[in-house]
Amino acid sequence: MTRFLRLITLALPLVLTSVFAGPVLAQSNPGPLRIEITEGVIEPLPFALPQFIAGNGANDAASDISRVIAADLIGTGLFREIPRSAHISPVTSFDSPVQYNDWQAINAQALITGSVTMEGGQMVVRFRLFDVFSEEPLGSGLQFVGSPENWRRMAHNVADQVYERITGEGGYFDTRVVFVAEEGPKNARLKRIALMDYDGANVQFLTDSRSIVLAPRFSPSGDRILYTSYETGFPRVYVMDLATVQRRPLDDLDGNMSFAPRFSPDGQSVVYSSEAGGNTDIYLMNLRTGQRTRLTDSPSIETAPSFSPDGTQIVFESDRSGTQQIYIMSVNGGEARRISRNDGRYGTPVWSPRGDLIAFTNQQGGRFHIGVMRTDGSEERLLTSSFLDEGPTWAPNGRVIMFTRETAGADGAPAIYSVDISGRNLQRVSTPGMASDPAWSPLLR
Amino acid sequence: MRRALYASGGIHAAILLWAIFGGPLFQDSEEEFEVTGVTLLTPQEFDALFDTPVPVVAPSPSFETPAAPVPTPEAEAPTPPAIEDAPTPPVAPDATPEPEPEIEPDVSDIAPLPEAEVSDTTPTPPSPPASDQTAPPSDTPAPNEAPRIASIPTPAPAPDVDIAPEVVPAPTPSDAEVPAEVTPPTAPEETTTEIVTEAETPAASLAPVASVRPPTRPTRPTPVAAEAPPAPQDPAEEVDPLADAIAAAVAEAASQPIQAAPSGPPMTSSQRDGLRLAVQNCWNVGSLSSEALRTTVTLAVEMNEDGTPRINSIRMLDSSGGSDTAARQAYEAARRAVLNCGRSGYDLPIESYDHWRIIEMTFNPEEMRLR
Repeated sequence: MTRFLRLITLALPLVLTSVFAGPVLAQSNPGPLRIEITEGVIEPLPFALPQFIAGNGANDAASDISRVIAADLIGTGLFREIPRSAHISPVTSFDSPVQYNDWQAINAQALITGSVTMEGGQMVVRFRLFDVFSEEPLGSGLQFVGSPENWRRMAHNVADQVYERITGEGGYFDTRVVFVAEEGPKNARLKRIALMDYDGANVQFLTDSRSIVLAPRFSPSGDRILYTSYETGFPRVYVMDLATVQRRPLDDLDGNMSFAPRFSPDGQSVVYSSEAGGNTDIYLMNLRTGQRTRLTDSPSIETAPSFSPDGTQIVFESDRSGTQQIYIMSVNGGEARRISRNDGRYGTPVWSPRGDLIAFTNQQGGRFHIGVMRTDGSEERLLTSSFLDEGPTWAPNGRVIMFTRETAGADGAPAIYSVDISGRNLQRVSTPGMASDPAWSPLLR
Repeated sequence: MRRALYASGGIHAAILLWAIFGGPLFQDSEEEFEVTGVTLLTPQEFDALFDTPVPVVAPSPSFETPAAPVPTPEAEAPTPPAIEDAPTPPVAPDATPEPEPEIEPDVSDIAPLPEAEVSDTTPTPPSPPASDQTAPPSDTPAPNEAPRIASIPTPAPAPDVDIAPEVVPAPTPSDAEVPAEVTPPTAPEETTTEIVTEAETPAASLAPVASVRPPTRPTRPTPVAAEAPPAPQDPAEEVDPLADAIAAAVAEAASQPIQAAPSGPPMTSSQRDGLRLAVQNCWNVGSLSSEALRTTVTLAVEMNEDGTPRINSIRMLDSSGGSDTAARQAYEAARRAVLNCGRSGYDLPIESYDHWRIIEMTFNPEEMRLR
C-alpha cells in the first residue's frame, strides 16, 4: 500500500505536467509555418541562351552551335527559349559576372553562356549554366575540344549537359538513329538502311536499294547494327560493322527465315525469330561461339524479342492465346507469363533502357497505338493513335520514344515521329524522305 | 275589528292627502322647448341670394339669426396643399357650423384654382368665417356640437420637410470631392511646463510592454555522490525501476525550456492557402525526371518581413522516394518555385511575421506524376 501511494505521489506531477504543460509548450512553441504543396504546373522551363562568344575564325560556328543547343532543348518539350530580343544585359565576355536581376526580370530560370574558339586547329567549346533565381551556377563549367567538323556533336554534348543538370536524367542529343529510308510508289517501294543524327542531320545510307531491308537495330555500343534483308529471296539477319560498313549473315542456316533480331545488353548475343517447318520460335545466338539456343517451342508464332536491360529476361509477342499478346520469359527460355491484358492485339514490345516500362504497338478498333506499360502489365497507357503507328524504339534515357507513322491511302507514306512517355510533345523527326523502322542508338562516346 | 278599520281608514286618508297636495312622485315638470326664428323668403329673394357671390366679410346684418353659412369657394374647394406631407388641419373649432351638404354651389363663375405652388410656409388651416365673430348673438344659444375626437389616436404627423426656396442642382461626383481643408501648421500645444529628459523619466515607463516568460527554474545541481553523506536508504527504494523512470520523466518534462510565444495573431487558413497557391503556381515539374517526380522533398526558408524569401537561407530538410540525384533535382525545382514566385514578396500578414518567419514547405509530386 505504501509503495502504491508513493508511486501515485511520483506519478502525479508527471500527469499534471503532461496535462497542463503540454498544451502550453505546444502553444508557446508552434515552430515554423508548415505547408504542403501537392499541385504544380507542367510547363517548359524558360531559359536564356545568348549567342556564344566567338573567338577568331569561329563566328559562324558560335552561331551554329548556339542554334543547335537551343533546338535540342526546345525539341524536348521541357524547355522554352526566351527570345534574344528580350535579353536586357548582353553577354560580352565568357567570364563576365552574371547580372541575375536582368535575367530574373525576363523570367529566365536558366542561363547558358559559352564561347567558341579555335586553338591549335581544334575547336574549343566552353559553357556555363546558371540557376538564375538561386543566383548560383548549376555545376561547373565544361569545355569540349574536337575537330571543327564535329561542331554538331559538341553542340549536342553541351545540350546533353544542360539537360542532365536540370532534369536529372541523361540526355539523348548526342545519339544517332538507324532507320529504313524509303522511296518510290507504294507498290514498288525501294528501301535502304540509313543512319542519321537523332535530329535528322548527317544522313548516311548503309545499303543500296536492290533488296528489301527491314528492322535495323543498334548494338549496345553503337558500333554495329543488325538488320533483316531479303537479298537471298527470304528474310535473313545480317550484322554490319558501321565503321567499315562490312556485313555478314548472322547464321549459316540457309533456307530458314530469320528476322526481328536484337542484341543482348552485353552485345555478346543476339535474340531473333526463326522459322523452321512452318513454325516460328525465338532463338538466342552467342556471337562468339555461334551456339544457337531455342528459347520457345510452341506451335504458335513467337517473335519480336527484346532483352531486359539486365539481360535476364526477354519480352516478346506471341499468338499462343489466339491473338497477338505480350509475354515475358527468362533469358534461358521456359515458362512465359502474359503481361498484356487489355483489348486489342499487342506487338513489337521493347524494354525501356531504364527497365521500368515496356513500349508496344497496340491495335484495336481499327487504329494503331503506341503505348507503354509496366513490366507486370500494369499502368498501361496509350500515347498515340493513328491509322498506323508501330515499331517503338527508346531514347537512351528512357524518356522519349520514336516510332513509325504511316498515313492511309494509296499515297500513304511512312515517317518517323517521337513522343514523350507522358504522351506530350509528339513531333515528326526530320528525315530526307520517307522513313520507317527507327532504332535509337546509345549515347555516343 | 274596530282597530283594523281605523288603521285602514287612516292609511287611505294619508294617501289621499298626499295625492291632493302633491308629491314628488306626481309632480309634472314643464319641458323647455327651443324657439327658432324663421324668415320667410320669396323665390326671387332666394334666387338672388345664390346668384350673386356672397361676400366673404360677413353675412347681411339683416339676418336676425345666423343662418347656415353659405359655403364659400374657399371653404368648399380649398386649395390642396402642394406638399403631401403637410400636416392635417386641426379639427375645426366647435363654433364652426357644419356646411349644408344638400346645397350644391355653382362654381361656374369661380375663378380657376391657382396652380399648386411650393410655399415657404406650411399652409395654415382655413380660418373660421368672420361671421362667427360678427354675427349677433342668438336669443337661444346654439347647441354645442359633440367634440369630433376619434377614439383611436391618429399617428403623429411626419415632420416638416424643409424645402429650400431655390432649386439647387444635384451635385456632380466631381463636386462631391471636397478638398481637404488645409490646416495651417501650428505648434503643438505645450504639454508641460518643464523639460523632462530621458534620464529623468521614471524607469517604469521604459519597461517593455510585453515580456517573455521567464524560463523555468534551473534544476538544482545534483550533489556529488562522493560528497553526499552516506544516508541509510531502504534497499527496496534503490532498486525500484518504475519509480526511477517516473522521476526521470518528471525531471525531463520540467527541464524543457519554455520559449517565448510568437507575437501577432496566427495565420488564418485562408492566408496559408494563399501562400500555398502562390508557391504551387511556380512549382514547375515539367522538366523533372521520372524519378524526381517520385521524390518528395521538404525545404526550409527564412522570410524577410516584406514577404520575400532569403535566397541563402533555403535548405533541404528531408527527401523521400528517390535517389540523391533525384532529390537534388526535386529540391532545385522546389527552390526555383519559392524564389521565383516570391521575388516580389508573398502576400503575408506582417502582424503575423513571427509565425511565418521560417516556413517549411513539403513538395509532394505524387498527384503531378499521375497526370
